[in-house]
Amino acid sequence: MRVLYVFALLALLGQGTGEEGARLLASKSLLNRYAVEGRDLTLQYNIYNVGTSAALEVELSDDSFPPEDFGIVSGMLNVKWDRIAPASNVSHTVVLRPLKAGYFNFTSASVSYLAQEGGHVVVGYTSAPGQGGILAQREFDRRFSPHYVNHSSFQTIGMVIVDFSQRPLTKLPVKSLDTTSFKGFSLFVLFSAL
Amino acid sequence: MVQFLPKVLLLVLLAFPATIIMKGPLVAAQDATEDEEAADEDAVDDVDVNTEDEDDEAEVEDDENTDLTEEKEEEEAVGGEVNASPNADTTILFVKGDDFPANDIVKFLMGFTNKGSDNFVVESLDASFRYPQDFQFYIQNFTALQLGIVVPAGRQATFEYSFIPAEPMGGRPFGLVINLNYKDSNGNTFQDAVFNQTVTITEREDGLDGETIFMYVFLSGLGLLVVVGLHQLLESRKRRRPAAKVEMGTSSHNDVDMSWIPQETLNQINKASPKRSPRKRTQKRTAGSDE
Repeated sequence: MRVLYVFALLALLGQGTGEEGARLLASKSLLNRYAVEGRDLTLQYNIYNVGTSAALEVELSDDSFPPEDFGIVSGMLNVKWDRIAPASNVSHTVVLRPLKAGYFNFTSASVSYLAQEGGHVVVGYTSAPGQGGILAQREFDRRFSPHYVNHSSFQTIGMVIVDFSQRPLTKLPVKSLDTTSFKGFSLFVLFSAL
Repeated sequence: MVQFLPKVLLLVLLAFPATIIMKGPLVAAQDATEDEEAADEDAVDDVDVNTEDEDDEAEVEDDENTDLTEEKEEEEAVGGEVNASPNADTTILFVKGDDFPANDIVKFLMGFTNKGSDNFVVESLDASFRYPQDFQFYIQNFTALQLGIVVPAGRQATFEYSFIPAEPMGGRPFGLVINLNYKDSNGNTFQDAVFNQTVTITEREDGLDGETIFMYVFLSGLGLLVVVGLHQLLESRKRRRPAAKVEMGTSSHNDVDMSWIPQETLNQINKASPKRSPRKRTQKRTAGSDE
């Protein structure tokens, strides 16, 4: 139902432009919350046709990622569609892997299409996400990794130190109390293991 | 000389606040000029209200159907503002649909076409909520998106922007104005109000929210109170009706355990007087003898 509204909206907007032909609006966005060096970075391209007729020979090409800075995990940075119908949209996803940390300016990709059959080629730019930071692996891990090694080593070392520092210092004269102290010691070991 | 001193003091004390009050209007005048420059706020500014666009009257009526077929390029009614360039076309698309839910992201794409032969530099994109009856009165001004993007001749560009209407705005109409500021190669600045209509912010109807939960808790508490009150009332009424009980002592002898008394004494007692209870007899005995 919502999709219907979107299409109706697109149709109305298309009429509103006052010109015949296709009109494409393209957006490029990062789906990641954090861009981390060595981890996947997902990009989504959405192309909406708000015109009154289909857009033909649509070609999306993004050359803003130098190959030495970004490796492609999946998807292609150059895509073609034969036609995009009026009041409809297409989307394309690319997964990249940043190879270097630091600031990177995510700039626009370009879209070219024919607004009408036999018309001239129209070139447009997508929206740009802007400048963003690519975190180094260490920075990201410091914040988000589970720190298993840290926690377990702390636990074992701490346990050893605390348990052995609680050993009773003097030998108690009463026989029965000896067992109590041993019980207490072993209970202490148990509890500190939690 | 000494006589004049208190009078002089009085004069000084009176004159001091007077000077402060005198300075007041000067400060106010400065504020007025600032207002004119910024062309902001204050529906109190009656001058601007008169130059208000007539279309707003019509727009107030259709809150429900935001008529998007009309693409008006409305001029800003403040003196000295710029219009759209004839060499540029703009279009807008709300990605998530036509409704504006409160406390939820509203995302739109704005398309810009350069029909002319010179470069355009798109400087910024801003969105703001205005008072529906007076578009010069800003209610909320969203952070402008600074672009600085060069759009060559014959090219198109798309800009994405998103904002979140505040939660308390739900259920009310607001005038939404989305402006695109750009300039051409000669340095002329242009502003295009790409979207300039009244929209209604819809409320998200959560079935279960804090208010309703506590309302139900409160109602159940009240109900319990009523029940308990009724119960207490009934109980109190039941108790008052019977007459006051008189203390009779242990008059029933059927539940007395006689097994502790030795058998020969019991026989003696039963032989002597079967009706009298041994207890009463022992009581009588102890009453007579002092022990």
